[in-house]
Amino acid sequence: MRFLPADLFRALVVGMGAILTVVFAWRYWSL
Amino acid sequence: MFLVATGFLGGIITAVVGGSSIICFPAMLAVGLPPIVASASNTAAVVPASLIAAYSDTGRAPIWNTEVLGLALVGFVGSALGAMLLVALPSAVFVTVVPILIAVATLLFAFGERLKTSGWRIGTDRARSMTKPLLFAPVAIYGGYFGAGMGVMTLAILGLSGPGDHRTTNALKNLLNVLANVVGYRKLHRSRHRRLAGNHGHDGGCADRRICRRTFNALPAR
Repeated sequence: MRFLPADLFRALVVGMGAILTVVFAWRYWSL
Repeated sequence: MFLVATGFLGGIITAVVGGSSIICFPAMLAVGLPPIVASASNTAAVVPASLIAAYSDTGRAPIWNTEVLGLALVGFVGSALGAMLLVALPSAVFVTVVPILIAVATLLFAFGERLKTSGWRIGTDRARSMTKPLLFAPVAIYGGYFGAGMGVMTLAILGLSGPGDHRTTNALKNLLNVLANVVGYRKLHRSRHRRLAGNHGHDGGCADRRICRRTFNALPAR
């Protein structure tokens, strides 16, 4: 974490949240 | 071997941003586990990785003051409640709400700064100490209920209610996720899943301190 700029950290978290949302929606809502 | 490799990568992702379930959960489903068992196994697996990550960033590690103790207590009780809900609610509810909760948390994190500047800021230190645990309660319940994406949710709440920089916030997030996930560990029944858990913490969490930069480069491609 100590090497990670705040902006990149925010981008990674938002990106991961978006990926999780899409993956779980695809996994569960398409059943 | 497949689960061990997945645990290693998941540990790194857990320590940095959270969301290791993106690879661990499908991996466990791929080897034939039902969703709820995979969820419980993933919950147990992230405990050691998050604990090491919380204290590896020296100088930003969580200090056990009143605020952190309040958050920890809420996390413990909320997770226990969430674990009971997981058992009590039908599976249709279980699978339907997860993407919605993660999407809301992501939006909250993305736009949290704007919300704070447009009136959501909680002014005094004392007000923050009292409000943060209340805001964290639903996240803790979710942590015991499912757990996937809890890191994003915790960061969203801490970002809204706290003035801390991203390293302090992430360290506190990791500690709170440990406490919440310890409750979820009770859901783990099958011993073979502990291979994933062991590797997750001992390899992934420790490696985070040394190879953060490589992880950041690798994440978008995954």
